[in-house]
Amino acid sequence: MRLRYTVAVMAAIGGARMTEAVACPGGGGGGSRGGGGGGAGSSGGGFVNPARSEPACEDASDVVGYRHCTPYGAWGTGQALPHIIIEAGVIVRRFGSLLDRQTGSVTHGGEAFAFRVMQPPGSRQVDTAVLSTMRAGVGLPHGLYTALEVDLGGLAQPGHAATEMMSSGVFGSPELQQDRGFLVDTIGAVGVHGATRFGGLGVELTGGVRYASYSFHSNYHDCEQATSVVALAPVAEARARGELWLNPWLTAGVTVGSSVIENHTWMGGVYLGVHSRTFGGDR
Amino acid sequence: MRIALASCALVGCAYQPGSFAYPQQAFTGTQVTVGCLDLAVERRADLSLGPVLGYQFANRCDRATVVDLGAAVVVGRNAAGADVALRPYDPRIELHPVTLDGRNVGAEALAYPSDRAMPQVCLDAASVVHAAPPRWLCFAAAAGRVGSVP
Repeated sequence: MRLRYTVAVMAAIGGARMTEAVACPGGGGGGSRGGGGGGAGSSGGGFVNPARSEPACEDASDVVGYRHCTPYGAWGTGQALPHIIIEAGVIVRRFGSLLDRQTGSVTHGGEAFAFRVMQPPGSRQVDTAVLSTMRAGVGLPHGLYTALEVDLGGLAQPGHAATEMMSSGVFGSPELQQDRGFLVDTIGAVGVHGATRFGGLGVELTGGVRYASYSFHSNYHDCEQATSVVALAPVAEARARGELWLNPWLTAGVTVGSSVIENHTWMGGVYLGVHSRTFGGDR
Repeated sequence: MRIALASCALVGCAYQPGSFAYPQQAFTGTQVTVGCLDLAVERRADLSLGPVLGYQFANRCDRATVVDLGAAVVVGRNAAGADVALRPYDPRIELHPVTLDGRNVGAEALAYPSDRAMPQVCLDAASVVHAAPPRWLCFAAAAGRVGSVP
């Protein structure tokens, strides 16, 4: 699902760029911090490793001392290794729009235009994003854990913003319309959890970076163009998590959180987690 | 093993305590429960080296447990009726206590070198998990059956 969505997002971005090239050769654009747009193509190649034809190791006996392929105790689960947790899920985020006071540019043919983005003064614009989340964590002693999380998704409802052109061309200025965009959060987490017979509860602190790309459509003298404004922002949240064991290695959970650096910013989500140790080694 | 674990994480094929059943593992032989371990032991055809015991086991608990086949107490009774302590054949010094995760399974086969035939071999199953009191399981040799290993 996540892969499909990622592919869809990338296809959408790539598709837009390709459309640009056909409609307005040389066109493109970009926003502040993200630099100028105009995708550049690249061609790549790959090295194909020839298939190996080595026979698989086969033992004539499974008796210890006579067998060579499988060491004694291969059925052991490596208690020296830490408890590893892989999670995937979906989250919804509401956060303050990063668009205000950003600048961008758009190119139509040989003409480049700069614009700035403004949001209504006195009202706080909020973005809503739906993201796929992938997370890898490691259990530590005393119920502590740490994790690295990547959230990728679309801006389902970006906060409203107005644009103002800062330059004009032969045919005046382009008309810009706000569209959606996409979001990537890269987050690290440290937390503590407690186990019950049926699941667990935990609290954690997270911190990371948010990359938001806000899309705009530009119309200029029968030429349509897409551009985007990119913004980066820090992320710091306090979260609570609760999960249930579906089987000895699989959990289903919910998570809710709120920013510790921004008011009225929250997130919530559901996830499935695969654990390398039975019941997380908590029993 | 790791592939099996990953698959089981998704479809939920955890060992069910007391079932002595698990996909692709036959718990053949005498069954006994010692501590967290459901253990099935069979005496296989003797090798020229000596008798062979096959162990299939599963952790019936949700927590990990230690399986120490190298420390299992095995006694052979020869044709003269004398008891002889047997030690497992371990030319590469592989045997060591291994932690078996909760609701997981494993299997091993150990040969016990002896200089003469052992019509009967007895195992203290409790010693596999360092438990007490002893749980003796005795196995007679299959007459005329001597296995070979290339």
